[in-house]
Amino acid sequence: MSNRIDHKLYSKENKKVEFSAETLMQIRKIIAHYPDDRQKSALLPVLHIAQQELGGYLSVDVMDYVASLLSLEPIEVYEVATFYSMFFLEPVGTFVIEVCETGPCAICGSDYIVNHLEKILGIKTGDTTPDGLFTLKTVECLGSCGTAPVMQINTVFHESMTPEKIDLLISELRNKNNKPSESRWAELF
Amino acid sequence: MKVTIDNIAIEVDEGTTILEAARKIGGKIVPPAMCWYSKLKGSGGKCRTCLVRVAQSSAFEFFTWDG
Amino acid sequence: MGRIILTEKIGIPGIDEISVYRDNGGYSVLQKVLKDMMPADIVREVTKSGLRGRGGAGFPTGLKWSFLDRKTDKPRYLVCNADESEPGTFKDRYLMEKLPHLLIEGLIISCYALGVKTCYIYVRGEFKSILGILKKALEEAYHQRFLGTNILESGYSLDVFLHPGGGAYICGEETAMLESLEGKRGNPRIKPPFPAYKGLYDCPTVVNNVETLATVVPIIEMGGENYARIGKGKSTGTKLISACGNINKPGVYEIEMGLPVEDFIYSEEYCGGIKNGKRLKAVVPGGSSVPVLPAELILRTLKGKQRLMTYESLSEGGFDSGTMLGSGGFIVYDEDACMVRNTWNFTRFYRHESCGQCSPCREGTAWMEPVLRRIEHGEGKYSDIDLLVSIADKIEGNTICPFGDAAAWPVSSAIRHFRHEFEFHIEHPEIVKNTDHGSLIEYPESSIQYR
Repeated sequence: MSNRIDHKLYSKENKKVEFSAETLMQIRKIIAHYPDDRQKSALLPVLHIAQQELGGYLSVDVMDYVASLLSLEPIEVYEVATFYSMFFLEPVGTFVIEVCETGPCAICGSDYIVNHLEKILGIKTGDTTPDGLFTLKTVECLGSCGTAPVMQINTVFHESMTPEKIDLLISELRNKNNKPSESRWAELF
Repeated sequence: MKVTIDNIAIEVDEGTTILEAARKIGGKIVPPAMCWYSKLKGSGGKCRTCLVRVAQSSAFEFFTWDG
Repeated sequence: MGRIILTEKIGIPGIDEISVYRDNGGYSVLQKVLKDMMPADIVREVTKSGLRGRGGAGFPTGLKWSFLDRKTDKPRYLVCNADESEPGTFKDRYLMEKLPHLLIEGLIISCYALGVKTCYIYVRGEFKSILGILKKALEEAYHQRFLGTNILESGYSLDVFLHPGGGAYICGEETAMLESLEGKRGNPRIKPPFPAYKGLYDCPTVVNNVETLATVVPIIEMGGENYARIGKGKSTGTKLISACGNINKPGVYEIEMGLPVEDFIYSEEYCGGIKNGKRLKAVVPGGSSVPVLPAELILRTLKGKQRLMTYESLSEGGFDSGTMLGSGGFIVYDEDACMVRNTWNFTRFYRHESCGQCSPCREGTAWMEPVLRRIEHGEGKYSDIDLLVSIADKIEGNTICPFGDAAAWPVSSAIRHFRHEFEFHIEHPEIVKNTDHGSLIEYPESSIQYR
C-alpha cells in the first residue's frame, strides 16, 4: 500500500490472520442483516468479533483483513477503530479492568476503587501488569449508575464495588489463568 | 438579487452562499472558513467557523446556511 | 402512590421469557392491533396520548411519526435507540433486562404504524449481556411468528436486527447513530435534511428511545385519551426515573408525571432521603446534560411554587432558575459533594466524548476542562470564572448537534448557582488541595435550610 502514513501505532507485522469457518459463516449471516450493497454497516459487529477472536486487540493486520472481508479500503476500518473507545489498538492483558469515573460513580467513591486497584496490582491507570494478566483503565459512564461504583472486566459488569470485593475478585481471576469465560460476540447478532 | 452584508449592498446570482458573497465584497467582513474545499462535494459547514448572524430573513431564502 | 403502567409486570418471575409474558397478557395488544387497527389509527392514538420522547428531548412522538415521508418508494426504517450513555441514566437497561418482550411488542406495533419492514436496535457496546437477552427474546418472538414474514397471517412482515455500538456517547444523538449504523465514525449530520426525510441509507427513518417504544403498548391497550388523563398538563402518563447519587435507595422508579420533587427525594416509597442523614445540596434531574439546581430551587421555583416532576414544572424559570426533565437520570448531591469537582468531572466526560467535527464544541470543551482542573487543584485565578462563562456562552447554539449545548449547560449553571464555591477554591488553595473540602464551604445565609 503506497501513501500509507507510518506511525508507531500502525506498524504492520504481515502476520496471516483468518477467522474460523464457523465465525465466517456467522459473519455472512450478519452481513445479510443489512441491505445488499451496504455491508459496511457490518463493520462494527465484525470489529467486535475480530477483537475477541483474533488476539484481544485490533492490530493493523487484523484491520486490513477485516477491510478485505467487507470490500472496504483499510482507511475506512482504521477511522472507525480509532473513534470508538471499546476497540484497543495496542496489546492488552487477559483481563481488561475498566472503572467508571463519571459523575454518579465519582460521588460514590470511584476514586477509592481506582486507587485500591492501582495499589494491589502495582500499576498505574493505563498500564498492563508485567505478567500480562491485567490492564487497568478508566472509562466514561457505563450506564449502571444506581449500583455505583461500577467497573467492567472484559464487558462483564461488576457493580457496587468495595475494596473487599475487589480483593476477592482479583484473587479469583488470578486463579483462572486462561481466557475468561464470556459469550462470543459472533453469536449475539 | 440584492444582498446587504454589514450595510454593504451587492448583486449576486441565485444559489450563491453568504460566504461567496462576502468574499466578493472582500476586506474585513469576510468570515473565516476552515472546512470548505470548493472541489469536494459536500464539504463546508461542518466546523462552524463561518457562522454569521442573519438580520432580515428575506435576503437569505435563496442562500444556503452553510457559510 | 402513582399509577404503574410500564413496569406493572416486572415482579413476575420469568417475565423475560415469552411463555410467561404471554400468560400474563403479553402480545395480546399486538394481536388486537394486527386484527382490528390500521396504521393511521395507531399514529392517531399515540398523538392523542401526548407521549413525548423519553430519551431526553421530550419531542412529541406522534408529531415525529407524522413527519415520516410516506410518499417515496424508498424503504422506511425504525431505529430503536438503546445507546444509553447519559451519566445518571440507567432506566433503559433496566427495562431491556427485565421486560425485553415489552420492548419487542412496542417495536412491532410502531413498525406496523409507520409501514416499516426492517428495524434495527442499536445497543451500546458495553451492554453485552443485554444483547444476549435481546437476542434470546427475538429468537423466541420469531419462533412464535410474532416476527418474520406474514406475522400472524396478517400479511405484515417485519425483521428486527441487533446492532452494537462501540463505546461513544455521541452515538446516542439520532444522526450520529445513523452514521454509526452505516459503519462510519459517529459524526452527527447537519439538519435539515431531517431523518424523517433522509435518514438511514438516505431513506426515511424514525429514531425512538427504548422507553418511548415500550410505552406504545400500554397506550394502545388503554387508548390514547385514557393515557393522556394520567400525568399532569402536557406531561402525560408515567416516566421511568433512574435515581442515583447520595440517596438511601438508588434505583429505577416509575413515577406518575406530576409527583412533587420533594416527595420523590424524601419519601420511603422512592429514594428514601439522603444517605447518612446529610443535607441536600444540589440535584441534576435529567442526566448530566441539564443544568444543576441547588436544593432551594429544585424543591420550589423562584416564585415559591412547589416543583413537580414534569417537563413544564422543571423548566419553569428558564435557565436562570430552572432546569429540564431530560432523560430522567436523577443525580442527588449531598452537602459533602464539591460542585467544582463535579463540574470538572462532567466537562472531562464531554471533552472525551466530543466527536470533534465542529470547532466550538471540540475546542470549547478542550479549553474548559484544563481550566476547571486548575481551579479544583487550587491553581485557579479570579478571571477563570468569567472565562468559563464566556466559553460556555460561545459554544451554546453554535454547534451542529445538541452535544455542544449539553457540554456548556453544566458549567454555566454551576457558576450561576454555586459561584461562591468557585470563589472559595480560588481564595483558599491550600484547603482545597489537601482536604475533602465539599462540606467546608461557607454557605450564604439564604440557602440550604432543607433537611
